[in-house]
Amino acid sequence: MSRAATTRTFPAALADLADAVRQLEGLTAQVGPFALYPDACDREPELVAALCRALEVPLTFDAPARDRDFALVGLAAEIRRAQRAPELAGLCAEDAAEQARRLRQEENTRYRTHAVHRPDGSVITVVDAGPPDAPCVLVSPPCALSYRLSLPWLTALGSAYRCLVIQTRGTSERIAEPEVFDQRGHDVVHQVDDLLAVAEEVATGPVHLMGICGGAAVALAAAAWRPDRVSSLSLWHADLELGEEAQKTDHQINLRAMLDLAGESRDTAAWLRGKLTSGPMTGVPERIGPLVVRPYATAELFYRYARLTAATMHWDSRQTAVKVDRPCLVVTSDDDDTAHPAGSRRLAEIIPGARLVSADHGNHLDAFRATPGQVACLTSFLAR
Amino acid sequence: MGTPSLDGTANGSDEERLDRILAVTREVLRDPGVAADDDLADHGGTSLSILRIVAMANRALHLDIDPRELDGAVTARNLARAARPLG
Repeated sequence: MSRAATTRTFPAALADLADAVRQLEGLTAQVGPFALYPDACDREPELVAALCRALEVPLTFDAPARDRDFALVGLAAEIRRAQRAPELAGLCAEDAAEQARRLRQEENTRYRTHAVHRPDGSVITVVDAGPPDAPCVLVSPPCALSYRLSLPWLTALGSAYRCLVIQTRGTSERIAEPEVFDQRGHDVVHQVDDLLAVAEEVATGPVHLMGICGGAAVALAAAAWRPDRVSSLSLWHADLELGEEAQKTDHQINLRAMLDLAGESRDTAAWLRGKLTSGPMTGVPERIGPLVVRPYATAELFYRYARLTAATMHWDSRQTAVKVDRPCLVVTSDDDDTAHPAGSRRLAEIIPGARLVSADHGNHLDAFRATPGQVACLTSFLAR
Repeated sequence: MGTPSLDGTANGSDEERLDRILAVTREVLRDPGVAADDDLADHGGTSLSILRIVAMANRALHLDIDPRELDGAVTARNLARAARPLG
């Protein structure tokens, strides 16, 4: 059978498995080879190993079973699920690997990557999709979370807009000397400067800034400080500090308390991570679980996540919200039990002329889904 | 009748430990109605809030709780049972 004929018969399940592997490429890019438990590829070990090689995601499946680490379970969940698809049984691993390479090549053509070098030595990774000369949307995602969480937005906006997603400093390049992360700084001011540098160096002309969850605090500050670089702003399920003026959920309170503790030192982060991952982790979503669990993968990544995210959670956004003079859209849902909708409502009151859209229902991760309704909401705002 | 002891015997220190863990649990869950044998999940407990209880027990009560020793439902009593004084 010819290679072309073989390619035509590859099932969608293979693309699903390749995506599951690629959800961990950001992790291995930072920490190098990473061991998961053998049961992650219990049905198709050769196929999974071939895909890992083809996609250059150096995973091994030999983590010792003693003292099971539930972050590893969460990181492996999608590979474990995807490799069980009956359609994959009997596939030639070598041919599947070749197809996976093609899938990656196609995706990398759609989603270009840039590196922005900052004066302090940080290298900021930016993922770029859509026509280069189209109006630009710059996404400010929650700290330390992979650009892959934002792919639905890149796909949905990609025909009419150029869409950029920034990766938080210290969360994409290979970790050689961990302490360099502290020396370079990780406060909101640093994160805002990175966002503005991307707007200046990668985008052409003023951008629409899209702040999602904790990324809203950074987007808001960038819009307040450099209105010349920002044409408009949208804030989706914003998780930010507004003092006593906005109620918080239990999740916001508990997460900030945990991150404050983890950010005290690398030793404390390691201790806390050990406690957290010694039992099943609740609230890990299907399909994108590994992307959400990634900040807990190692003690160093957890420490960085804590420092970066605690900075945004403590940053008083009232001081920047009142200074925003760009058109602003604030989106939330009445039953978001992760980032309390009261924060978005209050934000819309503080930002001069802001428009509030609050859905009756929708969970926090809906901010990443780019549903037709959300896309229509954003594009009609952009076309105003 | 007083609060049952952790190991089923009359042991004042165990009761005291349970009371302290229960106080921390109620504070973290912001729910004064949590009882010693309530499943914390029924009061909104998540892995994050339980971690916070474990951390507060460590810092404020000098108790180390190994979540691996929690069997079945997580209750304040199970947490107190798993708690060991810091060395």
